[in-house]
Amino acid sequence: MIGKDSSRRARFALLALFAAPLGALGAATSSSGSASASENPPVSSFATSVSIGGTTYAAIPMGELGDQSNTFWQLFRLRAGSTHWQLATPPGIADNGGLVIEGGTPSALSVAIRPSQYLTFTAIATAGEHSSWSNGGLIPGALVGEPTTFVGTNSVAFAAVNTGGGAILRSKAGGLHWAKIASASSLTNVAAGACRVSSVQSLATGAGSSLYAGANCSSGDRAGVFEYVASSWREIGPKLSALGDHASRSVLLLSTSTRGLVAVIVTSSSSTTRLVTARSSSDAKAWETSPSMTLPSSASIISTGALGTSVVYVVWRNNGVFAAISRANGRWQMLPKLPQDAETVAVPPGSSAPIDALGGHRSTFFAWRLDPRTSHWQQTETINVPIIYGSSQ
Amino acid sequence: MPGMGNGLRANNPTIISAFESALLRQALVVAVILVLLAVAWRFLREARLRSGGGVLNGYSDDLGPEPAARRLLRYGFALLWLLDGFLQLQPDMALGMPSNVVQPAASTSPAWVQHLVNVGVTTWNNHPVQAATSAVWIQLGIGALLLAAPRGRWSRFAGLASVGWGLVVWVFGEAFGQIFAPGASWLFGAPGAVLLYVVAGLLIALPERVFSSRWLSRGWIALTGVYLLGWALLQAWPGRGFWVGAATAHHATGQLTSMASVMTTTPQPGVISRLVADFGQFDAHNAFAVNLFVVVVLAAVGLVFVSGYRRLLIPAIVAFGVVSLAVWIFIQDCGFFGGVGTDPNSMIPTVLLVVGGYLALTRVPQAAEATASVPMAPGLSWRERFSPAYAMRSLGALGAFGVVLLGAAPMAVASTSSRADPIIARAVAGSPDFVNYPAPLFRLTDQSGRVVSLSAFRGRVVVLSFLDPVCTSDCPLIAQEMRAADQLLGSDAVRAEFVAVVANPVFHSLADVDAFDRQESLTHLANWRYFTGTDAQLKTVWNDYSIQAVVEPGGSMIGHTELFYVIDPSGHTRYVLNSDPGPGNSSSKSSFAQLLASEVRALQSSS
Repeated sequence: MIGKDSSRRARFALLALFAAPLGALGAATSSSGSASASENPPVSSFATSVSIGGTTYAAIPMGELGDQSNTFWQLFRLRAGSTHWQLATPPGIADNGGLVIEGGTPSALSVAIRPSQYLTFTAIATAGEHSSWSNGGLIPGALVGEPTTFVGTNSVAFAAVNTGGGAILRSKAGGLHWAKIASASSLTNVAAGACRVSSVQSLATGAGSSLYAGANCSSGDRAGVFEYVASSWREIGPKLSALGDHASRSVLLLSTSTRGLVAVIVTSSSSTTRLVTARSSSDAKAWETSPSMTLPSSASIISTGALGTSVVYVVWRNNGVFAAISRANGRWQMLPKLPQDAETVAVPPGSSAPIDALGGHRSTFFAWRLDPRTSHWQQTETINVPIIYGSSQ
Repeated sequence: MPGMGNGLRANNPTIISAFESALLRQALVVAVILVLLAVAWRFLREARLRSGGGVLNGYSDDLGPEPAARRLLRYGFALLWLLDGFLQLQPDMALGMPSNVVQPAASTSPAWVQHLVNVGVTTWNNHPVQAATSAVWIQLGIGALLLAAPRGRWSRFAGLASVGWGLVVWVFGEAFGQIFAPGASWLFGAPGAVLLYVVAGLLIALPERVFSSRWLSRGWIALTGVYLLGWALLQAWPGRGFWVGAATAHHATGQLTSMASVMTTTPQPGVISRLVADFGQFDAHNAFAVNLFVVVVLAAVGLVFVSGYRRLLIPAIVAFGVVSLAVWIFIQDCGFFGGVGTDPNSMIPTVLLVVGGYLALTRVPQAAEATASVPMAPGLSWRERFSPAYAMRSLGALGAFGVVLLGAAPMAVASTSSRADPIIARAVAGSPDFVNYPAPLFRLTDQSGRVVSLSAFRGRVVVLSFLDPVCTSDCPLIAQEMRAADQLLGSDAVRAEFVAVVANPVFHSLADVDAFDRQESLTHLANWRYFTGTDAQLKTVWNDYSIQAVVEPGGSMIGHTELFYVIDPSGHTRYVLNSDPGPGNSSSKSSFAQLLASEVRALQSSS
């Protein structure tokens, strides 16, 4: 009896061994057929440039871009009247998570330093006189998430964060205490079927303490633009049904100009990605949309921003770096192909025509200026940035 | 300084020294076992001579021959276990085994495999010295047990011990031989060398009479054939990357070429590295032919084994042996020469099983002889049971089992505790400085806004550290260690105070301190204080405690000195310990917490 049981066990074990190659075959074939169908985020980077008080700031990633712990975001500054960019990265904190430059109409630049590794909250640094930085408060990430965009005025700041599908926060106490004023679901309810909000992509401040929010709509026939006035929200986005039945519409950028709002909208389906600019009337009740520009479906948008008050730009990668700008007439205009290491574009203050392309390769920052006569990018500057590799590991 | 790549390396001298010391102590125990066995041997030998029984010469003469297949497995796998045990003696094994062997093996497996393997990795990481020594003695013990006990229940027990330990190694050390990972191949060692040890152990554990049964003699070689056919099918399966070599515009680098490329990067003798590299180059250009050859050989040998056609068995086994040898040298770098080698990989055990199958088929023992030859089997007289020869074999087996227990028992005890050995913290931080001087006093603002002096903590042991509230790597880990130490103290925590001072000249507001406390769940700790102050106040304290806080450029965090000061109840600094958290995994955090708690307790009890 004992011998019989032992034999059964041995037989079973042998069969299990011989089944191993077939089990491995099953594992191999099932893994090869499980391609992910997840959507890419509309913007894969926080590289951007803004102009505040005559000074242009640009945030770009540098270091080893394939390794977050060795990617160090750098802030560069071009003062009004100067032709030289300067390194102006806020000190005292590791910025591997990314720098989010404050938009809106601030009097002084603030930068949100997104958390990385074990740090879970976002510190804010505010630029002062003589290249100094001061502690500008924080966004308690463990409670509300990490900011994807960030705007402020003298008295109030707003941040869009990525927790729970997205939310908008407001701070009235110098960036110390934040309260949620909208979530993706509450904005969806406000839109009443015109836009199913999946995340908040962009913010802009308007007159007084009004706020505009640009959202990513996973369904509906409108671009997700919302206005926040007197503690209540309303949906004001332009109708985009003429663009066809695209799966998602993202308002990548909102900018306020003297003539109204400017929105950069990307619509994407499985096969097509299109860029549209929408410009509103001063009361934001009527919209005028530009002709759309089709991007390759494999394009990855890496930067967007506003140049001055009426020009907006988008930079994307697709076997090279490309950029397009949309001027006041609304039509998208392709720029000459950017240098391979370019991450964003910027307009030097006080100059209307030349555009700078900015980027970095490991520890070297490059600035290229577009020569309007030859339509070529000329390298104008390099800065060696003292990156300490391995310091975030 | 925080965040400067401060992982614990496999060649850490503290751990290696502790590993070697533990091995030496345990070797002394083994020596005592051997001396006792020698004394017993001498006693039994004289008893035998006095009783006129002649010189002991083993009892195989008395009990009939052991089946040839079984003997081959027993000797073959005994030597393999012994070799594996000696390979575990490598100094880097204590820290290198999880990071250089286990985790890479599991990295391409599904999440559930990684999760399971991680259980074993955590246990090993918590007790690296016990785990490494246990692997040495268990494997040497099993090898010795297989050699010392040729027959009977001890011998079958040795087979079961092979099965038990083999399964532990297969699951937790080899991640199931990577059979659940994409790209599993017979060429790379799947289904895991030690699974073959398990199969051999199962066969050894069978009653000897089974070796005279027809199902075993025919089934063994036939199932081996099915096994090889399965691998041939898998090797031939399109899209798995074995038919292609160097990358082209249409496909990525093939599996075998990639593997050869990876193998050449591991540290190993130049001759082996060159052979593997040369084969990789050859495969890069002839991958289709190489794979076709492998598939044909596996399929042909498999078919011969399944058919059981005796005239072809010898040529098939010779061909299989030659191909296995080539695979072992050119692809598996002989198994243990690359990196932290733990066994000679799968080819030798596979060949042993194949030849064993042949012997089982061609040299079937007579059933009557086999049954009669088993000691301790029903039917043996008490004289046979207690004969000096049997007793000597039993003593030998008992001694070998003692060696297995010598390894297994300490590890079994250690693994019941989730707390890590303090040796890890000592390995990271070095030994503490034992000092005795008044701790510099300061008055700073705590996290709730109250101005408090260090002197307010007189009568309690203070663990003082300097933390950057917006630090992304080390400071959160140090805070977690302090919190864990507080929990370890239990009721003694009321006589201890865990104190941190901000170490950041830019971000040192109360809001920063509060955010850090919330992030690290420190807000509910009654004896936790996180102090800040003005720039001038902080700089004074940093200066008094020899702390540098350097503003690093280029988007880096603050670089600051990492130290624990342990201050006794009279206000004297007694220990200064490097607080660099090292790898920052659960083991190192637990280890630092243990070390801090033990130092606090030592000062509490001495005051």
